[in-house]
Amino acid sequence: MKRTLPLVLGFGAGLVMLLDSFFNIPFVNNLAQRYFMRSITVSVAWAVGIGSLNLLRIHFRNISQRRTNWMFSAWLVFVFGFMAFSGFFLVGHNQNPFYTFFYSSLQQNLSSTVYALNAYYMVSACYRSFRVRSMEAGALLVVAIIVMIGSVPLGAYIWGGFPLLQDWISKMVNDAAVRAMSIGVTLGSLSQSMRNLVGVERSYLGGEE
Amino acid sequence: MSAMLSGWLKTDSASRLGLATIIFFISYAVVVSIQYYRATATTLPMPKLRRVAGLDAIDEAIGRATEMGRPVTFNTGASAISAATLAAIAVMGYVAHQTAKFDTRLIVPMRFHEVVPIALSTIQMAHIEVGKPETFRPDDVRYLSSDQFGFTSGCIGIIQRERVAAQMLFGNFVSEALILAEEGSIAGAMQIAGQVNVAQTPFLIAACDYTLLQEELYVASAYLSKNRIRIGMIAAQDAFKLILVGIIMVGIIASAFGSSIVSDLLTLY
Repeated sequence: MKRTLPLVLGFGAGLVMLLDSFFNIPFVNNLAQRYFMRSITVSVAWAVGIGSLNLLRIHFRNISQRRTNWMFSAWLVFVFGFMAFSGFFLVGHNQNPFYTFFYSSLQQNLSSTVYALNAYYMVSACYRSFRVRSMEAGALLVVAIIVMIGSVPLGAYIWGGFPLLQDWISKMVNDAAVRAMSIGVTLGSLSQSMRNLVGVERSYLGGEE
Repeated sequence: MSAMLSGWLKTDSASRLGLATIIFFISYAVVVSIQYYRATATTLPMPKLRRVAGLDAIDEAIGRATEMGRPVTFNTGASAISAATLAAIAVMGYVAHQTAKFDTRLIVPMRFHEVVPIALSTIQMAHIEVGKPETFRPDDVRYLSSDQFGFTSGCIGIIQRERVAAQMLFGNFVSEALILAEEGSIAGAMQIAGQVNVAQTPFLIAACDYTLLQEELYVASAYLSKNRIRIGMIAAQDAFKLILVGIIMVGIIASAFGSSIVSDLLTLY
């Protein structure tokens, strides 16, 4: 029963959502839009609570057992409480200037800083992959050089054919491969969804049987 | 015909009969294949799956982590509940089973709250199945942040502090993919990735030891479990792909001769 009920509920809800996507059946459309879509919002709200409890439990345990680097856990709990208090209780909630100052001036900047790591890592990953150790790696290097040179004004200055070659590689060769991959991903995604819908794949319920 | 169908079918967006027909055809093929392989389980040979090096390397990566006495990390991607996440969770179930068997720590950083309970129950069940429920550590399933780069910096911290020996990136990743993969590489971890975002695939191929190409992620659970019915569904998926390739070829030839018959048929409603 512990397994059967979620499977039956999953199949029923999945079928309703599937029918709602393609057919005009008032009962099904109403059920999907008014009840199921709202229930997603409610269940995600519960999940926020579970996630927050998971976070706090781990870090309170780090603090109480004085594990390595426990002071970072204490800082996290303080910042968590501080931002939650500001968002919940200050006038205007998440529009309050005090709250938006910390969000816009700290959180967003820190996010951008981590994102900027991509620039450095692209170079280091390129360095490793462009080492010519095989015919394939050699071909990759040649194509990459053409695309890189063709994408910058210097390429057109050296030879007018570089931008055209770069454009041809991107539009003809690259797009064809990407579209083939997209077809495979779509079919795989449908197959995975169907396996979950009919209960063949049930690992998300915890274990296989 | 068109007027009759348009009353039943939603025609407000891309959901036209062409698309609907394709989806229902797949559903039909999949369900037929389930019944087929259930009915003929003992009489017909199982369809053969080609080797996927990335999936074969999972055991090697766990073995390496066990020998080094260091943990394995498993990321389920940057989307909440989706087909890619569910496929990643299926792989995570296998990894949890193997790590529990060899008493190796498995750390699962999480970006979405709703995946946390699923991951917890999957890993706990794996420990119970191998007869070691006492070795399950709920603290190793860690919700970090819903913010993309808050999550990423949390993962970087875990990779560096715990000195992970193996890193697995399965699911749907966006711009954090390269950062995670390169951090794993700096930590000296063996890396296996399988994700469905076409734009991120080149980064993972460049940075990881093994990368599953796109739809190979969806084959993973059938490949690892050797489950007859799941393998049957993969065979049905491949058969349908052949049909699609046929339709595309006919469309190319028809359009070369100035006919739009195939595209007209696919958008008919």
